[in-house]
Amino acid sequence: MAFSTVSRRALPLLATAVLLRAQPPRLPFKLQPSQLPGVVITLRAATTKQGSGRDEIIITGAGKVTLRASTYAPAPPQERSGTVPPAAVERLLELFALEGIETWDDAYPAKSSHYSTKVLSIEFRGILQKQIVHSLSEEFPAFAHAIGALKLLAAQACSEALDRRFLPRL
Amino acid sequence: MTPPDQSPLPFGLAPEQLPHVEIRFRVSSTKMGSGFDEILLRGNGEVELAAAVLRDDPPQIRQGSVPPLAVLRLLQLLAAEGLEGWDETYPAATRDYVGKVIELSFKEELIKRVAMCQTEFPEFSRAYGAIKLVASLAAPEVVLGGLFNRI
Repeated sequence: MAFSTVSRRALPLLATAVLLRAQPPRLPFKLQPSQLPGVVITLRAATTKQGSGRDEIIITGAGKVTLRASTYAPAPPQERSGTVPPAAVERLLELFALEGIETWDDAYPAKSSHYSTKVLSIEFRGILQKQIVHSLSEEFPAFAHAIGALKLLAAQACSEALDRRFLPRL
Repeated sequence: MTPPDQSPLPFGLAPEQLPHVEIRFRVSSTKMGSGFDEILLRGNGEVELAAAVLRDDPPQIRQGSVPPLAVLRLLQLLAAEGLEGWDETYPAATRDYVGKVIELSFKEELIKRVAMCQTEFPEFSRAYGAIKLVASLAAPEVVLGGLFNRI
């Protein structure tokens, strides 16, 4: 992806751009870019409705994207997969950091007995770094920013990530 | 990357019209003399970022590009989140507020403008997050900081 800098005050901004490029990437949970291949980001959605299935988006740091969806609990899930550039996954993690994922609560419990839940997890080499269980009826803005970005990235690999017929709960 | 598909685009747009589409996202506040942050995504993949700390400052501008497929998917996400049915204005409840504006244009003609001046609803927030991610693919400082103060 091309990147260039132009400005109406070229020299000072060129210096700014050099500084910006020199900034170290800011990944959450003290992850380093070199550790990206060991990262797995998972978003699951399910409801309390009896026998209901679940939807799942899995994005690995290496760029593999997997969608899984089951209409009802015992049914085997349908699966789609594709790839995105690892740098795009890095941007997603940086966006999570910017949105404050490290400070989010682990659980946002439902206020009613029937509800749908979204679970966002980040693992590194199989060890859970953070899991947010969101069961409120309305997502808070920063969480929804993260979900929108994650869905968009998944859709770069598998267009079904935006198809409510395939992932009705996401 | 999968090829373009038949997932709906908003406002009856067709994939072949993509090069003429623009998505603009601008954040500013009513604070006296305050500037703005802006992301402009073109259907051909061009990305332009503009930021001014103060209203009278010349904006800093960055340009980059993403694959046009990223913009196509963003349009599909906007459609899936219900952009067509959103109001044009969500007015502020207070005198001082931050305004977030999403504009969709085709051939320089405005198709939809949504001004969010209150707490975002989740569909708007998901669109916001997706726009930010697409812009970051062209210019990482969108998520690394250093350019925008409001986005």
